[in-house]
Amino acid sequence: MQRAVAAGTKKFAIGVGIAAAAGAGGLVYALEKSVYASDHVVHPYHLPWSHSGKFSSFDIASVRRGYEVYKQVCAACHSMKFIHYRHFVDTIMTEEEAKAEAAEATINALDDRGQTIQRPGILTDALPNPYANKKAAAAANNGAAPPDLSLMSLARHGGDDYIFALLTGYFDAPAGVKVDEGKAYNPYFPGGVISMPQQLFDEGIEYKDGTPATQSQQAKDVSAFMHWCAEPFHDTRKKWALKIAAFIPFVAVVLIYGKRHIWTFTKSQKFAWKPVKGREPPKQH
Amino acid sequence: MKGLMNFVNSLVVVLPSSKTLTLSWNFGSMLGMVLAFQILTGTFLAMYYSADSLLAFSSVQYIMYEVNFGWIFRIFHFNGASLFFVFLYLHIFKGLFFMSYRLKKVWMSGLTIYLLVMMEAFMGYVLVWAQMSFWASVVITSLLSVIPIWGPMIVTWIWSGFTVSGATLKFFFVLHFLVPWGLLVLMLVHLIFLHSTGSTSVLHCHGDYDKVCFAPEYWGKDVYNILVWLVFIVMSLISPFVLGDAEMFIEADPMMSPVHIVPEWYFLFAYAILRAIPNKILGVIALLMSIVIFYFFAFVNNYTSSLVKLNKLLVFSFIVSSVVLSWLGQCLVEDPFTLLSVIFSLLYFGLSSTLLFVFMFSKKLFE
Ligand code: HEC
Repeated sequence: MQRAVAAGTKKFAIGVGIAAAAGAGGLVYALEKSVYASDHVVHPYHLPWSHSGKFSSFDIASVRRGYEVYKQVCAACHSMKFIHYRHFVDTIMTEEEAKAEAAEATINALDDRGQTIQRPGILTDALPNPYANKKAAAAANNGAAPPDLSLMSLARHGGDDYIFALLTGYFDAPAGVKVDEGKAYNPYFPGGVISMPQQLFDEGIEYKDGTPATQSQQAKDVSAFMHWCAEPFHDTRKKWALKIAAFIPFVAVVLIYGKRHIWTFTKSQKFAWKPVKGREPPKQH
Repeated sequence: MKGLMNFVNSLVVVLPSSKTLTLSWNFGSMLGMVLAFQILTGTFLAMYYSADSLLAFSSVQYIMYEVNFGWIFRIFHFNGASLFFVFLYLHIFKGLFFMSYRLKKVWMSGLTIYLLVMMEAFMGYVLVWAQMSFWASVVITSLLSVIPIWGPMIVTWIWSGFTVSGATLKFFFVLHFLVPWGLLVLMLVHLIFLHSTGSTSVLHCHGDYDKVCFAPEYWGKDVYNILVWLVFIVMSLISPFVLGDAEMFIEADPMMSPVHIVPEWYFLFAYAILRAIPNKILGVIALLMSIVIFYFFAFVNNYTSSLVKLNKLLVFSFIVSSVVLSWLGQCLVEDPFTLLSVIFSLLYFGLSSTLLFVFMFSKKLFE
């Protein structure tokens, strides 16, 4: 009887528990999926990036093309202060290529007499900043300073998808949305009006490797490049993850076997209560 | 030297241990390992970090871009904080499940460790000096202003000025560096308290009959933690940034706050409770009580009877409501979330106090 009650309580408790968890889960799910009119922004769509898989790496050819886009288009307004030309060596370029890229840049520096001069870059230089400072940058862009792009792909919700959507998402403003001089309508940008006009156009640049430079091709490549800049260690970390993951089953076997070996004695113990002659428990009547 | 050897021996070698400790008793040893791991990775990071508001953010990026394998230490350190909380929560829930608060001193020292780890994690987060961390520090430090009489003075003192500034950052850095050593001591105290009676167990009895030595049995079991570590390492290498916020990659700008301020996942339940109450003073009190309430479990004086199943059901419901509360913590402040936050905050407190009272009540029931 007592057993049956206990079993009944247990079933009831488990039932209530599962119902509560399912109810809470359902509520969270329903609210997560609902759309609010107050969301004044279009969420970017998901794209199949070559590097978005758990163990997949960058498409380096695309990253290299992305650098060309950055250099020829974005660098006019955006800095990349954490990236130095030496970072390119043996990662996305050969040393000669990286040196040549650096040499093409003009770097502001001081000469031996303390005069400001401009010299060609060397490997240890950071990618040059197009503006002297943030105020100058804002003044040249209708009051909104172009942000540094080094960490950009990690610094926005949606990451690469967002950047691609943003760069290719320029449309005529719908009725009722006021777009000031020098600004543009872009539904992916929070608020819808961005101070960066459309930058990428079909055949806007020419790729060295002959890839047709459509707008979406450039957007894809420059997004890949920006992601590479935000974490140049990306491929290394995934490679290590794979190596360590492959190691886990073996470690598991050793540890589990070892533990069970140590515990065999304890686990196979058996208790027995044996009446000893002369010390029997009292008889029941 | 001999004394030290004996001490270590008594802690982890000859310690008489119950045979019925399940994997849930691994959480504690895991937490010890996480603390050591955080101290090691943190020391490495401290070698390159600059606690200056103009340099802090770039010095963190210097670690990511320039220091040899610096990125891996930083990834481990900030995901290590999450790992710390994963196991803290598991450890606490296990304590509630198996009523481990019968060991009063262990329970109280444990809760104090929990509070200090929360402080520690918060200060570490501020050190990055990114948008979200800067504004989180503004929000959290200004909560202290509700302390009667001394509040505003304490806040000004912590800020070392009239707002969160470079001086505040230095203050946090020094504390962030020192607190772990205090934690280490406290953890040892926690362990000594535990070993004076021995662990509770799933059988709810822990007399000194029929025990085994801690070594090698529990060494063999605690090395299972290595598997957790390997999984942790793989996960933080595959997606190091999933638990963080995009705003952590934008340098702090004291002139412009992010649209939507959210803490890290492990503070979300407390943040939801804070926001659920429109009155600032009451909100802060509720926030504090959400943790302090667990200290009251030490007042339970019931060694004889327990409604084990009811207790488990309540703990389980408490976990579910904490998870929902955490989810609510990152939702926008608008309906239906504001209403839900109130409901689930009430559930949080309702369930935790029911847990407490059921225990006292069951004593009456069986006596
Ligand atoms: C004419 C100058 C100019 C050029 C060229 C330019 N940008 Fe921008 N960009 C801006 C300005 C100004 C902003 C700030 C917009 C704002 O805050 O409204 C901006 C913002 C951005 C943002 C951040 C948007 C956000 O969510 O805050 C990204 C990403 C970006 N640009 C990428 C690029 C890329 C990639 C290129 C090259 C293809 C590029 N930009 C070329 C001026 C420029």
